[in-house]
Amino acid sequence: MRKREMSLLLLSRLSALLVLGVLGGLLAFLISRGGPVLGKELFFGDTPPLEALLGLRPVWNGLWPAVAGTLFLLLLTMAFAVLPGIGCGVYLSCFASPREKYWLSLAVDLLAGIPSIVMGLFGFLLIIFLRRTLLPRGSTGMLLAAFCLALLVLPSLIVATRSSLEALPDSLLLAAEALGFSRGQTLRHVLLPAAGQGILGGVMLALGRAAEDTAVIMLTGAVASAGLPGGLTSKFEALPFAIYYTAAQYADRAELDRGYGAALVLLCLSGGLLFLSWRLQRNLERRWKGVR
Amino acid sequence: MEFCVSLRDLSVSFGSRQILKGVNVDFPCRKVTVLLGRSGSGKTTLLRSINRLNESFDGYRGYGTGRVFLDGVLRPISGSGSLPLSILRRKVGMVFQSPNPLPLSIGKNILLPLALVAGKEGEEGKDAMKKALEEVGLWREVSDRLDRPASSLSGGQQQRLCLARALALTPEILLLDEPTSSLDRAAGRRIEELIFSLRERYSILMVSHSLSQAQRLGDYFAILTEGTLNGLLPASELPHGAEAETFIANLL
Ligand SMILES: Nc1ncnc2c1ncn2[C@@H]1O[C@H](COP(=O)(O)OP(=O)(O)OP(=O)(O)O)[C@@H](O)[C@H]1O
Ligand SMILES: [Mg+2]
Repeated sequence: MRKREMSLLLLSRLSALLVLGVLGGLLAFLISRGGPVLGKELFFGDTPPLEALLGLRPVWNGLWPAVAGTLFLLLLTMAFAVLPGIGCGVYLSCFASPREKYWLSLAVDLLAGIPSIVMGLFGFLLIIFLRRTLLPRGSTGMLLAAFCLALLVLPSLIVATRSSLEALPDSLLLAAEALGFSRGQTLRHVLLPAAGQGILGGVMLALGRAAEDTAVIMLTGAVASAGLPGGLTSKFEALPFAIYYTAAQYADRAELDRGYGAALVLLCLSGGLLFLSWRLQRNLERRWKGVR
Repeated sequence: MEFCVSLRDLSVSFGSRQILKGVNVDFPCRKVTVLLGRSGSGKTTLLRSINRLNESFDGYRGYGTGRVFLDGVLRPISGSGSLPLSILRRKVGMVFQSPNPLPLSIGKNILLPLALVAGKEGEEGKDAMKKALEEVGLWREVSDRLDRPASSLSGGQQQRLCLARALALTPEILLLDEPTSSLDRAAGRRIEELIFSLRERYSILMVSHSLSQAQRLGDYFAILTEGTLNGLLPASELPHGAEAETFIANLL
């Protein structure tokens, strides 16, 4: 018995170390290859940074349009996905009848199982269909890409919201109801904030997934060079696509290193977004709790 | 005798199990009535049928009639002519067996219900909070740490906070479900003293497991046996000392 426990402990220790080791190795590799090329050259090419940032002059051989494109895309994706994702999770955990629960969670599981390339194809076929029917001038672009990405990340939001609401103790609900809170007040002022941490986990997962996905945007509007995102229906550049494109087409080692640089930038970008959403959640939680 | 709650043929079942089987009782106004009964006899269920909290559970079904006397008017607890649920629950405050503060700061535990249920915000809310905390003797202990989490209080303090939270909403009836059972003796005594000091202003229905506590506090006793309850026993009819124990045991 003792022996078994020991080996279990050893195994779990090793697994934890493995995660740390892999992450460390990955970071070290990316930084060693991509780090040296980080600089204003990488972002803006030969264009003066200020003018590039303000969009006065186009950037031809820099990452800035792709950074802006990815940020814009993420914003739009989250705008599409957050409300329905949280709403559906709330419905599943608080209002659905057992039958509805069964069918709805089956649907969510199926959606979660769809590979992103299939989601991209769906977007592509959707726009073709729309062109034949309602929108003869429609084309792939930012809006379509964000819509398909939103579908892709919806399940992680739904599941996170539902499971963190269901993990709350029943006594919390009972305490609020006994005080005379209405159903909506209980949800809005007690349950949702108490589940905030878990919901944030879902938002982070969704952000990360949307930031790295290439397959969907490749088929729905991302291109290698389009300049700064011009509008909701225009083609756009995006970091994961830039990385993919570089990896497939590079001519020399310098260009490949710029690809590593782009990967590092993408990593920092999603890290930064995760940090921001964590800070936001922590501030909201403090306000809710009324704790200094 | 004036009464605050009147129950007629009240039956409650969860799923296929009947818990209360025809309860008939009138609880007196501005007195302490102690509910006694074996574990599982339905005491908590009886209290919850007065603030309609049973409805929050799956499989609940209720029959019979219940009426409450609030704001000088006798009204059915549910059905036509009844008060809106949130007003009923505001007027019939409840304290649970184990302290259940919301996962908020000490102050917000009282301010949030005040704002949402009683519409008291800002200075008005703060005044009401202070008054409620003073009523349970907690103001001096917590006035300088209202923004600390409620979970940082001791069990007894948490229970008093929960009582203050109910009192802040200006109830007329208090349902206390074994409010001292999760506390040590000293903290329990503190709550008992509080209940004693509240008896003239509120109608109190209290479940207790301790006969001596019941004797210290109760003006009336109600004995629940296997889901039935018929009438009340005034404290004066209860024998004193050890005899009371055998007397009650025979009734249970
Ligand atoms: N929500 C519910 N669903 C199903 N059964 C329930 C529910 N609430 C109570 N019961 C059952 O009803 C019976 C009475 O429960 P209740 O909590 O009213 O007893 P009690 O007299 O308060 O007991 P105790 O003294 O142990 O607190 C118990 O057998 C319990 O299992
Ligand atoms: Mg009980």
